[in-house]
Amino acid sequence: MTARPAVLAAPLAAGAATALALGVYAAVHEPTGRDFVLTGFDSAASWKSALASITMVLFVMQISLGLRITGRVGPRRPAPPWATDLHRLLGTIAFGVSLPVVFHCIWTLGYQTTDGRVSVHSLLGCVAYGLYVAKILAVRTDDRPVWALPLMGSFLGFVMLGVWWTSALVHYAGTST
Amino acid sequence: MTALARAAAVVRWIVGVGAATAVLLLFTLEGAPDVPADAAPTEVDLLVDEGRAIYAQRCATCHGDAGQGGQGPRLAGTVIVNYPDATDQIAIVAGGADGMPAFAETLSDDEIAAVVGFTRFGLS
Repeated sequence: MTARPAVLAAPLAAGAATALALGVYAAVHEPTGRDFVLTGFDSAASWKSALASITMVLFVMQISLGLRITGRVGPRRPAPPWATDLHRLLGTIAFGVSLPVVFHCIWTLGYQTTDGRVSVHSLLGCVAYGLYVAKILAVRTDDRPVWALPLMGSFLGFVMLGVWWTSALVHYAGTST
Repeated sequence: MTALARAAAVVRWIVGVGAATAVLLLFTLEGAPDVPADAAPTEVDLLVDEGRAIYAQRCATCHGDAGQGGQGPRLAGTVIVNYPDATDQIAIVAGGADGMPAFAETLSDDEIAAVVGFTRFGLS
């Protein structure tokens, strides 16, 4: 089977369209400013930071498994069959856990550029979901280059780290000013 | 199919439904029903009204009549983003920051809450 980088065009286009759609919706839509507080938390920032942090932990586990599956870490023998299933399960859960967070971001707050942190957070948030869509579609694409998924997964991991850094970490550090 | 793969399939289905619901809500919640003109004012309405008067007296000089900014930063449409937790914003108003005076001595707790409420819900 010959790898054809061109087969990634459709997943990347779909990812770009997703990121653009999220950004345009969040920018055009009038932010409602309505908070919804989950039981057990005292503010939206608290539960969003908690869910974002859980998402990050799941992503770190998922990336670690991805590195093991592709043979970049761990013993030389092939990864056990369950590793791939667990990798997908963790990714799906991470995506699910992040949904309330992104919903609050774009419905309540909208796309904002009030300062550097907020601008970076808004941009990376849209890019993260675009990358997620692109990676999910690339997984199901035949003849993709062997480097495609590790590269997209790593890039997604860095973008997610940026999203978390500019929100939850700032919240926990108490410097959200 | 392993148990883990079956679990992943179930979770994928649940998350898919969740994602579809979220997208649906983004568009259906957009047009929340308008409050009738003759409806009694809510506590938030009263808070915002009280805050509007305080804002005009104490804040508008620096932040602009409509919160558009001036000597102080823009507030309209930005405070909920910059201060998702209202208590952080209350702390700034009470204690001051970056050239902004502290209002803890000149405004009561209720007045600070009112003006913070106005900047969050009365400025757009």
